Amino acid sequence: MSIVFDNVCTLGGIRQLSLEIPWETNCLLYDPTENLSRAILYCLAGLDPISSGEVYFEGTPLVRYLTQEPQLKNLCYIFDEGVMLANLTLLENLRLPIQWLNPNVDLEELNYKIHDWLARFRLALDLSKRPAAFMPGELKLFSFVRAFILDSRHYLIDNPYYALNKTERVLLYSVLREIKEKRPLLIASIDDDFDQNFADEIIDLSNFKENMLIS
Amino acid sequence: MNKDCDKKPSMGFFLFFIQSLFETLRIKNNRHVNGLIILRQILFTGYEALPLISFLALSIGGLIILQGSKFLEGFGQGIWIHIILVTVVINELSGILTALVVIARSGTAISTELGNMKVSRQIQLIESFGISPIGYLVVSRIIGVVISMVLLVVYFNLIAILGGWLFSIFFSTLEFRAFINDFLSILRFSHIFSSLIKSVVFGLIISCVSAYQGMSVRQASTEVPQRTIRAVVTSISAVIVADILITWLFWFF
Repeated sequence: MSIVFDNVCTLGGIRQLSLEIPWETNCLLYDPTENLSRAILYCLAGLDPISSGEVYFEGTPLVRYLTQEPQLKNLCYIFDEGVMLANLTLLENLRLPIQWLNPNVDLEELNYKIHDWLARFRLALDLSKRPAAFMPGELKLFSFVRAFILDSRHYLIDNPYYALNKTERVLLYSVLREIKEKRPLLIASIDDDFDQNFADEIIDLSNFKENMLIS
Repeated sequence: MNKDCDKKPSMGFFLFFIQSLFETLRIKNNRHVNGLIILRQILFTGYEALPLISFLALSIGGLIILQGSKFLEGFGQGIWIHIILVTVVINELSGILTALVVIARSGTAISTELGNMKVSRQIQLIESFGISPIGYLVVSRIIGVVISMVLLVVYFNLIAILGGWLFSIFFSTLEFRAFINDFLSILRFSHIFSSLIKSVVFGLIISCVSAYQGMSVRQASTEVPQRTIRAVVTSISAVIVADILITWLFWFF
């Protein structure tokens, strides 16, 4: 499987990017500026509209790929900051995408999955509280819980170690190693330690500076 | 470099309004609209505004009856107080004053909340789920604000008329039965209808303008108060222009 950018411009600032990303198991985008790597993930997640050119995902134009099924079934984007909706509780934050994908989800089974994933990340969170009550690292790990419960076919992960302390990084690393055996991951990261140990394929975007307009 | 790359999205208010209206009209099949957000919006815009609306309605109704009856009874024309009540309170003040309260409380809140959501990338999070931010965040708020506006205007009218009479009884000798009979003899269906139409239009204007300004924030948190001020100024201007147009239409036809 591969992703092909064919002379792509986006409204967010990608300029005439032509690039092929081989994506069999997991692939890492190394971009010291972090602008282009994030822009590529945004574009793939449908957050940055393409203004010209075409992106092909497994040979299918990206827009068609994203709209042929509910987007979350195919692609799940995990933000670097562990973004949560501030006016919902953690449980509501977690249920929102799941119930959007499957309105008739079995809540008992879902609760079992939630507690299983929380235990794997060693998170002891009161899910009835709103995100403001928690540390950034806890929210970040919780955003991984939310993403992995969705069980999407592909994951786009932006800066996985951002906002995490040493212990949390070790935890996340071990979970991601398990996940990469089951699901293809496309990761944007500049953490040398993570990059060298984790990725099967590294794409260095250092020479693509001209393809990113910083607005 | 390709010129296409330099184009920036410029989602004008008109396009935003049309899209919001379209998604509102197909609410039955719109999974993006969230009942919980509608309920919370009604609670905030409608229920929590009741004390302020009550105070305003009571004061305005009482003052009009007090000033009017004192002035008109001097000429032996006390009956005209009901015409003034219908014309001033039901046709004009209830809609305008309720709109001002809703702009001050809910318009600013909607604009600030959506602006902050944009800055903290919560709107992108919703988009990444494949949920339409306009359907989920904007349409739910439009419905909540419009329902609240209608209920608040009806409530304002009732309190201004009945409460106003109760308030003024301390200073005047108006008999309740005669007051209500005279009032109902002057009140027409068109008065109630125009008041309701205005409340729906005002609610639509306030929620759309505030949501648009909130969603127009780009990256910086310093844009949020600027957009909120713009939402207030634009909403007040648009509500007054709409009020003049609706009044003119009802007067004309």
